[in-house]
Amino acid sequence: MAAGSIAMYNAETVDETDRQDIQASLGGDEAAFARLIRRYEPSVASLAWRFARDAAAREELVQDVFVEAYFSLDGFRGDAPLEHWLRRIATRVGYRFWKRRAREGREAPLADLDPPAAAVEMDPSAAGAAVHALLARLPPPERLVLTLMYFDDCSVSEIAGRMGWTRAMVKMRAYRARRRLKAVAQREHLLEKLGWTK
Amino acid sequence: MDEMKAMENLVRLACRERPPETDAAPAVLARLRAGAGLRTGRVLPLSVLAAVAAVAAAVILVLAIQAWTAPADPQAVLFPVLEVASL
Repeated sequence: MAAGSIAMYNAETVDETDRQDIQASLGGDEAAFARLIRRYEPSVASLAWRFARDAAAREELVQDVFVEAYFSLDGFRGDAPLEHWLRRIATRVGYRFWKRRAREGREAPLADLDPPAAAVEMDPSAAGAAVHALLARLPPPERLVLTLMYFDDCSVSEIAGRMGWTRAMVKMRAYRARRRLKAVAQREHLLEKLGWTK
Repeated sequence: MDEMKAMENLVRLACRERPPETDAAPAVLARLRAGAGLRTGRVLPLSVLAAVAAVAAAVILVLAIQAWTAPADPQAVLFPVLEVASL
């Protein structure tokens, strides 16, 4: 079964090393799957970082992505690079995580913003925390659209493809998300907190 | 400065952030071994499921054949009883 499906992979999208490791993983080779994890963990973990900044939650998300990938590996058609496929799984896993958190009513505090005096020299980590806290004010579908646009450089079509949504739905969610985000930023006095009122 | 412009600046800055590293491989493999099992271990439950489904399908097939060959008219089963009664 494994050899047949691997033979169909597009050599332009799936490189030889991945192809061999996928094939070996499908045959039950643990070491091969560990190699795949190590190869793509930085990419998956950096996307997971946009879904959860808490170390334990993020670690669990990364694990969930690879566990899900393992059980879906025989469904990987190879018409896109393995990394794209894994990031797609990561997006869905992260989105489910947000929906669960939203149901539980948990929300990141906006107090994560640095004091105004430090705003001009604000470091990337503080900016990341601030954006994360602001986006957390949006409903999960809108939050997802902006997160993928901002941090994964995704186009409307890519988001639609990744989530199985229509392009119109993505556009509508992006529009609503921006409008809502502006309202949140005004309500939370974002500019004053950042010291960018000039 | 407009709020959305500020947001764009924040996002641009946030994109330069380097997320902390993770090492998920040992935990993922442990979860696969402990929970659902690695691929070799997955074949057995699937084959058991296939066997159960095959047995169920066979039973349904036998019942369907019996139903198909039985008299179409439900009153037909009453005739032998009536014959005995008239004698």
